[in-house]
Amino acid sequence: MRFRGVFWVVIGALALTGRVSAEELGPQLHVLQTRVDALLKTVASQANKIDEQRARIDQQDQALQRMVQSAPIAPDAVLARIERADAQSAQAIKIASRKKPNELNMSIGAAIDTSYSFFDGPKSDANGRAAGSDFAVRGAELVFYTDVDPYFKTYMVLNATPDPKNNDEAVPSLEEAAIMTTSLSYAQVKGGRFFLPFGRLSMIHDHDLPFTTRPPSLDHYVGGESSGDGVQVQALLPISHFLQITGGAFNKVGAETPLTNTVGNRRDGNELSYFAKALTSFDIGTDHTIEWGVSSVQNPATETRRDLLDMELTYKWHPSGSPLRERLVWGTEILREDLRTQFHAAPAGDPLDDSIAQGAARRGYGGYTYAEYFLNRNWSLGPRVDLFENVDPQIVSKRTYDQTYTAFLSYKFSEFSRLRFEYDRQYLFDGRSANQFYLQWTVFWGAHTHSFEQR
Amino acid sequence: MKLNCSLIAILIWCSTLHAADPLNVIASIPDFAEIAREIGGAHVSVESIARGVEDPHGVPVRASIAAKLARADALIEMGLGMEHAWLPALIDASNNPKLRGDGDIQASEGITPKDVPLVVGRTEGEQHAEGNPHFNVGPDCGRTFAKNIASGFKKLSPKYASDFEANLNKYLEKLAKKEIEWQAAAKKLKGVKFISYHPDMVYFADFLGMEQLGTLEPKPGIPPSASHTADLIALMKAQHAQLILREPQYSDDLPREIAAQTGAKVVTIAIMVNGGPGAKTWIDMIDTNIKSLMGALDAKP
Repeated sequence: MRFRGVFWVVIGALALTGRVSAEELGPQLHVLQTRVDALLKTVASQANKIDEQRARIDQQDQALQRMVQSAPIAPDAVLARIERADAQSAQAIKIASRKKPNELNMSIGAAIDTSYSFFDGPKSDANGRAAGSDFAVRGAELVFYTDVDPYFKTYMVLNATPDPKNNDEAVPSLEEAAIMTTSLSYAQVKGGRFFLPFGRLSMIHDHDLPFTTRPPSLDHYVGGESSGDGVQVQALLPISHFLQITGGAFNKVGAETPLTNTVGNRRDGNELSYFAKALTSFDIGTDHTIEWGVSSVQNPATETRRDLLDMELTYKWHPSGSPLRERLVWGTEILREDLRTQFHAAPAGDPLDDSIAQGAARRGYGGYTYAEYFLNRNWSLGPRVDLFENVDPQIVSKRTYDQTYTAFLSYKFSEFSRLRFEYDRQYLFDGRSANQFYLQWTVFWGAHTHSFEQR
Repeated sequence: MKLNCSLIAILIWCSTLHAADPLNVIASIPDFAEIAREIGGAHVSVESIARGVEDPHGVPVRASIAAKLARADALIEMGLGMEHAWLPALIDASNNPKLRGDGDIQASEGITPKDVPLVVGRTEGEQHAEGNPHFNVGPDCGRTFAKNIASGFKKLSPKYASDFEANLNKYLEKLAKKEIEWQAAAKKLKGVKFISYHPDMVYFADFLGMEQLGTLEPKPGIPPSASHTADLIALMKAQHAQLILREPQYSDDLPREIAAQTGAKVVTIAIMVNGGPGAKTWIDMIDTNIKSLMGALDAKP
């Protein structure tokens, strides 16, 4: 600014001097005067432009200062800010996904298994339903499970199944209630009431089976699901090969199996049922697996001795990367039961006297084999063959084997709902033959997990 | 005395052996196994449960895996509910308490989940309440899960922490160079409209600036219906969709049928390492996927 002031004073003085000179020197200097005037105008115009440019530079300087003040000035600072932002967002995500107090409550899941069935036998089917067709809720199940603390977890299953002998009244009953350890290496202790892993399918709930009806041989020898009150220890041997050993003691094995010596609900050691199992698995290449296991239940009581043996063999084909997600499961169980039972029978000549206990020891072999082919994620189908010998002394057998030939077809709408058709052709002990079919509709909701046993 | 010396020598040898033992690590998918090997180097022995060609939601549960988990020091999981249908059963059967403690390495820690549902319910299909779990195909997510893996290793084996850190930095440098290449590629793919079979491309597409018009599944895990497919075809035609991204675990019949009707091109995308040709490492997988998309765009109709 100071420079500009001096400039104007000099220019003014020059101009004044020029005017005086022009008057004295005459017209020849007029041209020079005109040139000086033009030069003065140009200089004034340039000075204005300089002012404008300087004002712009000042504005840009201010803007730059503002940017410098608001922006980080070094790459390190930029990285530090990004790190901080990352940490803050990670923290925000943690906060958003944190467990809320009510989430510490147990997980709850449920299943409803309903069906339309037809049976053309002259008497009743295996569930005590008369011949004909019927709608029925096969089971309504409520499952609760949760971690108890760092050492234990627990679950409970309540199930209501209609009783055809009681106007289809469905009374909820305690199907399973078990506590398991979670902190032992290679081993798990489980206690309470639960389905012990006898064989392969006995421990699976009805609605989770690959078919609608439980294989009749399992019903006959095991007595429905392999339920019992007791304790078991399951160990996975610390070797590279899968070898699982299980052992336990129970009040009984089999949901339908009667308790021995129910007086006071206490039993001697030899009246308990002892369970042992070994299970191993072999991978053949990447797409094939074979599992093989042997299970045994012993009830050493002298009067009602039970010796039940099961051998299971399962082959699985699960081609990796099959775009159809096709796979195959072929499962077989062979059972042998030695059963000594006591029942009261009237002696000859005195039909009213039933005080004489009769003993009977029978041995039976049986089992089933089935294959389930999964065409894709939704459809699966397969056959099943089931044969078994009678070990119940109160059943009069006209046939060596009770035989059931089954075909089943399943459609899964999603992971949580399924429709299944099953046809059974039965040749029963009493000489009858029968046809039976089911249309089963099953849904699951709430918390839903797949156990290792359902693999 | 001689015996005592021998005993001490054996004990020292045994303790050395134990110290040299690598961490026994199992990864749920091969992506994490590959990166774990890069970071862990000779201090880890890593195996993956999935092979890379399966549906990551439904990897076959093999008993042999339970035996491996029983002896594992660490399990690297995706989290966000990705493995909920198969991994908890294996962990249960393994009876290994380490996998409930420090040995549980969650690769998703610090990932900002996308597609977090506002409505959580089974009517929405097989949704993941915590957000879309397919972050392993997100080119900008590798950095996070590599750090999570390194952090897990450092906790389990602090004596090798500096080695893990050095390997992590080396890997991150490699990744940074690749990210620049991927960002350059993203300029070409920006705004390209596409559909996929399952909603597993969101992290990948967001990085590249691509626009997803929908999925063949009407809802996650629900098979395509005729009406939904017809609606999708109409939308693709109206919006000039250029690509159909097909994941290897789904049949390509329907994608090809739709391609024939819409003019869009079908591109098979690996969603896990080893999930396709050229996807031998995680970086290769992202490279191959991006190149496949660019190749499809360049190809003449």
